[in-house]
Formats: sequence, structure tokens, C-alpha cells
Amino acid sequence: MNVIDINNVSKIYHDNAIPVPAVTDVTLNFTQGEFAALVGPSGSGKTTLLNIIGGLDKPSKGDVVIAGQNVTNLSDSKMIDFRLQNIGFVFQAYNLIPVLTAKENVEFIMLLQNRPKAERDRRVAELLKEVGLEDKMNTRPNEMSGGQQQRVAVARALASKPKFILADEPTANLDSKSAANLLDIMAEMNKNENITFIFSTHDQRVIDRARRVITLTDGKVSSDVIQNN
Amino acid sequence: MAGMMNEMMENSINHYFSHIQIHNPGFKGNNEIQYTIKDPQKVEAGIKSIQGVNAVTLRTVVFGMATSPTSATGVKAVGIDPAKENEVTQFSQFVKQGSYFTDNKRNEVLVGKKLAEKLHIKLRSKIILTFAAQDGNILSGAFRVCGIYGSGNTQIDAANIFANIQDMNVLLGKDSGYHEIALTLKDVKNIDIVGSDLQKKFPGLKVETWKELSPETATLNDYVGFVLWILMSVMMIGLAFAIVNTMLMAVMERTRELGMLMAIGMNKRRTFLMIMIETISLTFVGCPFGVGIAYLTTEYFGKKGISLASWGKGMENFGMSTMVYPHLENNLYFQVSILVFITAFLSAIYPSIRAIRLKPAEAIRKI
Repeated sequence: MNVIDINNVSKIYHDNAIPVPAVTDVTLNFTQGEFAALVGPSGSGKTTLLNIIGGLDKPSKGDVVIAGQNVTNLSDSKMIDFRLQNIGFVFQAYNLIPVLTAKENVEFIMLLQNRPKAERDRRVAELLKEVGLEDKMNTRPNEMSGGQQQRVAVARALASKPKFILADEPTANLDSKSAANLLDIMAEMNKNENITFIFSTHDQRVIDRARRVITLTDGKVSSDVIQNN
Repeated sequence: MAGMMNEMMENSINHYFSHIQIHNPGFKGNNEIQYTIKDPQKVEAGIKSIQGVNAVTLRTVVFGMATSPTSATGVKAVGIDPAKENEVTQFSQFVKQGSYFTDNKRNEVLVGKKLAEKLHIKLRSKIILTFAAQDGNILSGAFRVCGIYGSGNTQIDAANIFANIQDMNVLLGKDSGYHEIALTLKDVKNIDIVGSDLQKKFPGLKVETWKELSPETATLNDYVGFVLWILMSVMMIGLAFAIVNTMLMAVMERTRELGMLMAIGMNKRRTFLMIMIETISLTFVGCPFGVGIAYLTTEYFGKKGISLASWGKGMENFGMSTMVYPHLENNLYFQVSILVFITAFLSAIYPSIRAIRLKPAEAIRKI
């Protein structure tokens, strides 16, 4: 079974009653363990498609099935709960809650899931170690570099044990060393734990590391290539 | 305002009318000399036996003329037992010049400041008090001013002369007697109960509380209470706007953060509660701080007083002193705190609704 099935999805925005198609007739499938990148110039629809996959936006046409469940017509409340249990997010910026420490940020999502304390503590320690930040547990985001913050964000995304992780331009604000470091961690997790990663990106460094590159042009899939990585 | 009202009531009620007065029913209509209280000492003893009574004094009240070398005016001459009167009204503290009464001197009077100005008299001046007896004869006696008082109420100061009741009884002869019994209570809140008990005990006498003796003061007191609540409501409305504004700013400034939180799985109920709890938490910090400042300020100025001398003359005509001592009942702090919490809670609803209406996809992208 595919993790994600996108069936003939279109999204049209209405800008002062003028219809603006962002995504048109996209059909894609993702299996467990994919390390895929959605690429394309600005305005190609990659972020819109990512948002539709993540349930942050609803398609105008078509449907999205995640782990066998059609999420297209779920209510906002049910979709939020679904995201909490099944989808991890890493954003370009403003990932972390500024007043919480790294430990508390990672723990936050498990608090939302009502996980017991012992499990939360164990998993936080495990995840921060995995991303190489076990010594930054009690550090606040403003005391960390951009790369460190993104690594904490990855740890948080994994904390909920999601079916896949969506990363929207995760390396956009990072220097090359931090970006490489982040990609290494995500690739490691993908390889060792079979976690599915789907990126929306301009960054050639990410494109080079992805095993599948889906190119969008004017809202349509113009190519879907498997790379040997 | 509460302090001013308290001052006014203190001046007229505590220091003159007292809490309850008892008269012969005929005296109230006519103010004539013959309407004295029968068996006044028995009545006094009966009053003292009632629980809640603080102090009692007996007065002779006669309406007549006061004449000085240069002027004359109508006055109400009140014959008092200086010691008992002081227990009820603490009148000695209002003597601004001279002394209250001296033990061994006769025919002394206390004259109000306004009356002294009217009669062009000063300390040790001689005045003649003239009254009409029951049989129509004119009774007059010479008195010397031993003290000039200022009660804070110019109406009282302008109309009342106080003399030792023994001297008054000598002057009034067979018309002497007690026309008025004034008493204060340990707790003024029991005034209606004690008033009712006294009326039952002495059905042949007219028992009146200060509200009946000074209905204008009672009305003003109720009016001030009403105005205070209106003011409070206006302040709460202002507070509500301030809270809505503050929390809306907090929501708008954190649009991206809220979008991120909703994206990762924080549901609308939790988001709503988060904003509400933030508001209540801020109120928990701000309210005691504000109440504390209000309490300290009121306590400080309640002892030191705030001088309103610029409006002095006008205020004294209404029985208000130029020195205002702010006063707030303790339970008012609690009531206001509850009001503040309710206002904060209700004000936080709209910003919370705005927060949960954010669309995560748009919120995350907000610049």
C-alpha cells in the first residue's frame, strides 16, 4: 500500500474573483521510505501541493489518500488530529516555540498526543541524540544556530512517529555546512528507519541528495525521475 | 467619591444628627418648647439596654434669637450634657477656637463659625439668647462665647448654638425638659433593626433614623452608590477594550507561530484555551498588583487626606469638608477583582476566536 496517493488533484485560488490555478491535475503516489523532492521555479505549485498533501489546504478537485484514508473531505478539526498522529512538518522558518527549550519543543508534540511522561522523556533524549543535540536539551531557540534549530525541528517532527515528514524549504536559511549536516541526518533516518521524506525545495543540495525528483511547471508534473542516490 | 460621601455623612450624621433620634411626636411638627420627652431618664436607660447601642445623649432644643451688639439672627439653641454629647458626636474636636466647655463656668456657649461671622462676634463675646415660653412670655439670658466650632457643614454652623443643658434649664424654668434623645450604634448597618426595636419599645415617641432625619443625605448616598457603579461599568468597558486590543495584538503578532502550532497538530480547542489562559494569567498578575496599589493609595490618602481647598466654600455648603479622606470598603476590592476577572474572561473570547480562525497554510506564510 502506498503511503500517499494523490489522485487528479487541482487547486484553484480566486484572486479578486479571477481564478488562479496553482496545481492542475496532479496524480502522484509515494511509498514508504521515499526520499523525494518536489522542485520547480517559484509559482510552480510545489508548496501548494505540499500543503495539500499535509492537509493544510484542500484541493478544488481530486482527492488525497494517506495510509488508506481519504483525507480530502475531513473537517478542519479532524484534519488537525490526523496531522498530529500521522504527519510531521519541518518548515523553512519559525519552526520552534521561542519560549520553550529544545527538549520542551520536541516534547510538545507528544504532550498534544497525551503520551505518558516516561515515554516522552525517553523519546526526547533519543531523538535529540539522533540529531546530535543531546547537549542542547535545555537551550532555547534564540541561543541556537539556524542549523541547530532545524535539527530540533526534525526531531520534533519525528517525535509524533508520523507516517511521513513534509519539509518545506528546510535548508533555505542555512549555510552550506549546516544544510549538509541537516540533510545527512534526514538521509540517515530515511535509510535506517525507513522514514519517508518529501521536500519542497529550490536547493540543489537537496535535489542532489533526493532519490526521486518530481518537477512541477505551472502547476503540473513535468517530470518524475528516480535518481541513484 | 465614596470618601467625599463618607465625609459628608460623617459631618452631618455622626457629628450632628447621629444615627437615631427620638422626639415627642408633637415636637417634630411644631418644634414648640412644650413638646418634651416624658420620663427621659427612663427612656435613656431603656435605650442603653438595647444591644448594639454605643452612646446616648439627651438634648434640649429651643428655637429663638441670638443677638450680638451689632446683629441678630434666628438660631436653634441646643442644650447638651457636654460629656455625653462628646461620646455621641465627638463635638469637642470641632472646636476651632477657644475651648469645648469649662467645668466651673456658667452660661457658656459654642457658636458655629458661620454664625459668629453673621453676628460679628468672637471668643469671649457676649450674646443674648431669647426664646418664647409656652405661656407666651419672652425668656432671655446672656451667654458668653467659650468656643467657636466648625463642623464642616456650614448649614449646621450657621444655625446652631450649643449651651450646657443646666444653664438652659435655668433659663427655661418651668419649660425646661428634654426635647431630643440622640444615639449612635456600634454598627450602623443595624440601624433599621435597632430603630424598629426602639419604636416598638417606645410607641408613644417618634423614633427616626438618620435617613428620615436627613432624607437629602440618604438620597445623595444612594445616588453616589449608583454613580459609582456606573463609573465602574464604564471603567470595565474601557478595560475590556484594552484587553481585547492587547490580546488581538498578541494573536496577530504570533500569526506564524499559531499557524505552525495548528499545522503540527494543536487543535482549535487547545488554541482557544491557550489564548484564554494567557489572558487569565495576565489578569492574575495585573489584578492583585493594581488592587494593591489602590489599597495602598487609599490607605495613605485615607489618613493624610486630599485637600480640595479651591472648592472649599462651595463644598461646605453641601456639608462636605474641604479635606477628603478616600475610603473603600474591603469587600469592594474583592468585588472589583471579580469584575476584572469576568471582564478579562469575556474580552479574551474574541481574540481567541480570531486565533482559531487562522488558516495554517496562510498563517505560516505571513510576512
